This record gives sequence, structure tokens and C-alpha cells, in this order.
Amino acid sequence: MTTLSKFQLANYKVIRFVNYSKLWLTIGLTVALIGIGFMTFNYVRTGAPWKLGVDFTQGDLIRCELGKAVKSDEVKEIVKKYTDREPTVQVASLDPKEVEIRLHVPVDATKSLQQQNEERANKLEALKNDLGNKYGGFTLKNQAFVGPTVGRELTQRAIMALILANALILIYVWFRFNNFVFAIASILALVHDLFFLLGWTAALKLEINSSFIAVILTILGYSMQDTIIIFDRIRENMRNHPTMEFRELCNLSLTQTLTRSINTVLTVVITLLTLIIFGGESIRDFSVALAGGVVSGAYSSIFIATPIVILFRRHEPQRVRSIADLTGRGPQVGAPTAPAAAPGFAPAVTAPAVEIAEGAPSAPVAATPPQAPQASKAAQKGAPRKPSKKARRR
Amino acid sequence: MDTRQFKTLIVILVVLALAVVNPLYRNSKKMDIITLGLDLKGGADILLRAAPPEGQKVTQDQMTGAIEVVRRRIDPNGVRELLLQQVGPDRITLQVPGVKDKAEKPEDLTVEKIVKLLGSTALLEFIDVGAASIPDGTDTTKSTYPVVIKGDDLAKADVQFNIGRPVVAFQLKKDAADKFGTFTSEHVNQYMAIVLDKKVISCPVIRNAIWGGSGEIEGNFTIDDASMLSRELNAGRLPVPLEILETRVVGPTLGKESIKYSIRAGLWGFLLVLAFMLLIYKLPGFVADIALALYIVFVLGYLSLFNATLTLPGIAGFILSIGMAVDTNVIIFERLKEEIAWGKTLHAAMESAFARAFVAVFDSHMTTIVGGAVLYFYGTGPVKGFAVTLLLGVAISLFSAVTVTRFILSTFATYYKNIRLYV
Repeated sequence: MTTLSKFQLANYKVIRFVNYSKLWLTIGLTVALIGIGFMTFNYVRTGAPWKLGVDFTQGDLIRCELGKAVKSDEVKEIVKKYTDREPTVQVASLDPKEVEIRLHVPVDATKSLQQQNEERANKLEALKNDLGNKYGGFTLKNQAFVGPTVGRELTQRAIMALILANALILIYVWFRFNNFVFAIASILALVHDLFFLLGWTAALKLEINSSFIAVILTILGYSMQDTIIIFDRIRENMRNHPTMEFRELCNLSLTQTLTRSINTVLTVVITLLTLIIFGGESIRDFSVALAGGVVSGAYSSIFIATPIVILFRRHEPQRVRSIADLTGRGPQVGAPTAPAAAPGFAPAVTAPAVEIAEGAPSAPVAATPPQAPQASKAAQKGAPRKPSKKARRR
Repeated sequence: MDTRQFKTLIVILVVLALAVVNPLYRNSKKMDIITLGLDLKGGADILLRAAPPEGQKVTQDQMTGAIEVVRRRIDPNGVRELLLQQVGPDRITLQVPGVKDKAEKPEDLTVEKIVKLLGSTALLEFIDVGAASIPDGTDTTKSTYPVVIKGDDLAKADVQFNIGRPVVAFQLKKDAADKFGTFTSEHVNQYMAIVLDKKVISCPVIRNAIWGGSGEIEGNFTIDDASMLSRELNAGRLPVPLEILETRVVGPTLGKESIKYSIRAGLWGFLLVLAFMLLIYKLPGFVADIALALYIVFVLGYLSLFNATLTLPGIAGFILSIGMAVDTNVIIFERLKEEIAWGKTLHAAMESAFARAFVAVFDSHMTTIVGGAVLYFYGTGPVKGFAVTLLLGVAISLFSAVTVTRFILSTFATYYKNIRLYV
């Protein structure tokens, strides 16, 4: 058996995540409020909490490249001839030849359907010709027309999808966790993620189209995924360390999964960053929204879901697993506690030191002597707390 | 290599073969390896609804008829690779690739031209108006003039030039030609109005009997007007008027740009993830990279095999799934480190890590699968594309990140036993 020089029974550092639970939850709430602030700001300024794409505003959208650089006001004057409502004209900041036009082309409702279609088509053709003639060329990038029927439908479908997805996730969470506290905590983490995503989108003025529903559902799935992994570890540790104090156990679980959490969110963010930087403008807003949601999904498992669990269980009595617990003659200084008594378990407490403290146990199975000081160290760490807690409870 | 490993190898090879067979086949036939959505190919995607007159419901016959007429109007020569499908009881989806900005030739289609082509029911009537001509533009919906010839009686129509002006020359079917001949011989010096969609477009005087059934429709046409009218006449009358619900057009330049940029993003994403895994996880990371390369081959291959349409959000979903596929590897490798720290042998640690981690991974991916499935059912076009690649990616990543990685890693482990390579 090779000796693992990296592994030493060094100081095992459990990061005290949940001790600051209230702080994390306050920050989470603040972030959500900031998000609402941005949405309100947008609403006051533009009538909608986010920049809505044509799927929701209905009407016509034309994105084109003209022959020479233009100013939005000039183009607006030309567009106004073809619409009765105020059109929106945006010139791309990076390339003043690129223009985005949104307009509502009015049609005579008394005429037949065919004639209405033809009228609209003629007006759009004329508009494109006008622009082409005035600015030396018109190249279409993309164009869309969304009629009122489809506009309504898209919104309805999006809402149905959200409701269904949430219901399914709730059912899944209920079966999976079978525990009210875990279920509520994971759902509240999702709620936080949703608020974050909406605020993020509002703050960065990302455009929302029907594809945004894909962002929301992906983030919901991803965030729940992340939370499940952490809660699974907590439950596993509850099984393996039945007498460990719950707060400590959560810290342990979070510390153990920390590297994994960071690395998985890093890989996803890397791919999203390449999409944002290299993927072209058509997909950029979509990718930025996803990126924000993914980061939020990752940190909400650690800083929202687990703190909520702690807060719920704060008033629960500690789990009693042995007579020793009840009589208060449990962990004593020096005597190995249940975790340390079983050699298989002690390293479990100390093993994560590999990632955190760069310390490592040396061939833990074979080497019992190194365990003893470690065990007593663990006991020392644990022991002073336990008696004092017990003292308080008495 | 023991039996179990051998079986695993066979499974991997079969999966690989299935992934590769379809792209190779399509490539040999000079087809696109993967069906591209319109947002990548460029073209127009139009959603139509049959809008029968007040109080009537549209029949399936009308729908089938309408689809035929649309196809004949938009693609009379059958060369455009249209996608034309009925959706539900009263909707039609039409996808026309290769739509141009400006119609330089009469065969070119701009989206506005398509709309106009679809807009008119093209009801052509020749009516007997008696001794006095009626002005162009008169609405004949409520008139009682007898109809002599209808659009259905036309065998053919095309664009010709009469003294330099474009006209639509037509040829009647045999029975109608006879009827027309009889009528014109009985009504010389009287007027006959040519009415299109209940509007008079011209009202010529009948100079003499016309036998043989050929004639010209003159009406101040531009070449475009004439060619569109002849198209519509040839295609036939729309049994029911069509309403345009939604139009999406992607110009050819944007489509190509999108493909170029997404390939670029995909390559960079892949390379960065490769480097990341190698740096952090060393030998297992290297194995994960091999599995990731296979993953990409699998996903693209199965997208091709299932003839799924790849859209721009679909590509985004694919690139995202590269990051998530590696997620699985991270979970397993972290577990592996722990198992080794707990003192198991390399071999035992790997067994345990993969076994335990698979359950956790499968379980956690369930929520992504649920989200993806809902998206698939409720999403339209591009969003469906995203759902497809995400779901396919998750499913395949379970295979590639667990089975394939495990196979390669355990093979490596028989040769490279230095623990330092693994942690």
C-alpha cells in the first residue's frame, strides 16, 4: 500500500458555514429585494419589469444592416410613416449600421383577411425599400411578426410550463426527502433563485423572449440538483455520525461537498462564458441569463437551503442515539467517542482535510496510533461543546 | 480484461457505432449531417390559421386542400425543400428555407411575397356584365352577374408580354373552352369583367368569338404582379382564407454567422473544460476528457440518428450540457478521493466511488430531466430544440461519464497504480 504523503492527520478544518445562517439569509433576502428594485425601476421607466422581446410585445420586429451608419432619430422618422404607434428604433452601439426596429403596422380591420395581409406585406416592403434607398442598401438579419393570438398563447404556455414543472418538482422533492424541513428549504432556495434570475435579467436589461422559459426551467432543475447533492450528504452523515451535533454535521457536510460544488459550477460557467464571449449576439442574452441563474443555483444550496434547515431545527432536541447521550456521560475528554471508536469512521471525519487543509492521514487503516491523537482531538473539539450544551439544557 | 469489462467494451462500441452510422450515411448522400433549424439555415417560418367565414368551422378537406394550394404557390417546381404541416385542427406551419431580402428574379421569394401569395384566395371569375362596362376596382360580392368562367376552369396560366406590358396568358380546359367559345360568340360587343377576389381588375369588350380557350388578362400589372397572379391561378383557389399568426425570418447572413460563432464557442468551451479537468483531476481528469470527446461524438451522432432539428438554443443547450456532463465526473472523482483517503485500495476505491456516485448522479439529474421534459412539451420551435439537446445530453452523459469513464479508468488503473496520479 503506497503511503499517501499528502494525507496527514493534520488540523481538520470544518468551515463554519451555518454558524452565520442568519447573515446568509439576510443577504439572500437583500439580493431578492435589490432584484425587485431593478424590476420596479424598469417598470416605471418602460412599462415592463424587463426588456420584453417581440414574443410578448407583439407586432413586427426588423433587424437589419444598412449601407451606412445611421442615427436612430432619422430612421424613426421614416418608420413613423408606416405605423400608427410610436415605433422603437435602436442602433447597435458597436456597429452604427445595424438597426433594430419595432413597430405595429396598422391594418384596416374592415377589409378582408387577405387584403389585410396584403396591406401589411406591402407596407413592410415599402419600408424596407425606403430604408434601402436612403441608406444605400438593406440586408435583413432577422425579422419577426407576432400576432395577438400567438402572443397570448406564448404567455399561457409559459405559465402552464412553469406551473407543471414546479408541481413535478414539488412531488419529486416530497418523495425524495420525505422530510418537511428539507423539502421546504429546497423550495425556498428555488424561490430565491427565481427572484435572483428575474432581478439579474432586469438589472442587465436582458431581452426576454419565449426562449426565456428554457432558462427558468433549466435553472430550477440545476439548482434543485445541487441542493439534493448537499442534502444527500447531510443525510449520509446523519447516518454515519448519529451523535454529532446537527450544526456541526451540516458544516461538515458542506465542507465535504465544497470542492465538488465549486468545481461543478465552474465547469458550467466556463462553458457559458465561452457562449457569452464567442457565441454571437443572437444567443448572448440567453447565455448571460443562464450564467447568472447557474451561479445563484449553486450558492443557494449552501447559503440559503442549508441555513433554512438549521433555523428550522434549531429548537429540535438533539438526536439521541445512546444511553450515554441521555445520562450525559457521553463524550468524555480523552475517551474515544462513537465516531472514533470505529476505525472506519474516524478517517471519515478527517479525510476531507485532503481538499481543505492540505493535510492528510497516512494509511489510516493500518495506522491506528495516528488515529488516537486525532480521535482525541476530535473528541476534544466535540467534548467541550457537548457537556456545555448539556449543561445549558439542564 | 474480465468478462464484465469485456461486455462493457462491447456495449460502448455498439453505442459508438450507432452514433456514427447515420452521419456517415448522410454524408455519403451529400445531405446535411444534422438537420438544421431555420434560425441556423436562414429562411422563413410562418404559422397560418384557416379562417373560415363567420360561423363556419373549417373541415379537414379544406385543410388538406389548403396545404396543397400553399405548396403549389410557394414551391411550384418542388425544389425548395419546404416543410409544410398541419398542426392541430386548423393551423398550418410553413417553413421556407432560403428566403431573400429582395426579389431580384420572379422566382425569388421574400417574406412579404410569401405573405401576399398566401393572402389571396385567388378566386378568378369572368362575369357577364352586359352592355355597359363597369369600372376597375368595383366590388362584386353582392352582384348578381352570371359567372361565365371560373379560376378552376383554367388549365394553365403564365406571364407573357403584350406590347411590352406584362399580362397573364391563360389556357382553359377543354369543356370550359367550349363554353367560353359559345359565350363569346353570343355576346360580341358586350363587356365581360375579369374579377379577382371579388374585385374587378379589368373589363374588356368582347370583340369576337374566342374558340380554343386561350386568352390574356390585362390589368396594369407589374412583372411581379403578373407572375404572382399566374402562380396563384396555377396553384388553384384556396378553399379557405388563411390568417398569418406568426412569422419568423432569419436572413442568410445571420444564419451563417450563428453557426460560425456557436462552433467557435463550442470549441473554446470544450478546450477549457478539457484543461480544467486535466489540471484538477490529473489522470482521472484525462480519462474524463476522453469520455467527454466521446460524449460529443455520441450526442451529435444521435441527434443525427433521431433526425432531430438543431436550433440555435439547441446548440446553447449542447454546450451547456458539456459543462454538466463533466459535473458527473467531478462528483465521482471527489468521491474517489474520499474513498482513497478512507484507506481503500485504488481498485476498491474506484468500485465504491462509481457505485455510490451513480445513484447520487442519476438521482440529481432527475430534476434536470423533469425540467427538460416539460420544456419539450410546452416549448415551441427553438425552445424544443434546446429541450431535445439538453435531455439527450443528460441521458448520454450518464453513459459516458459513468460507464465509459469507469471502463477506461479501470483499464488505466491496472497499469498506473501510483496513487498520486489520482489525487
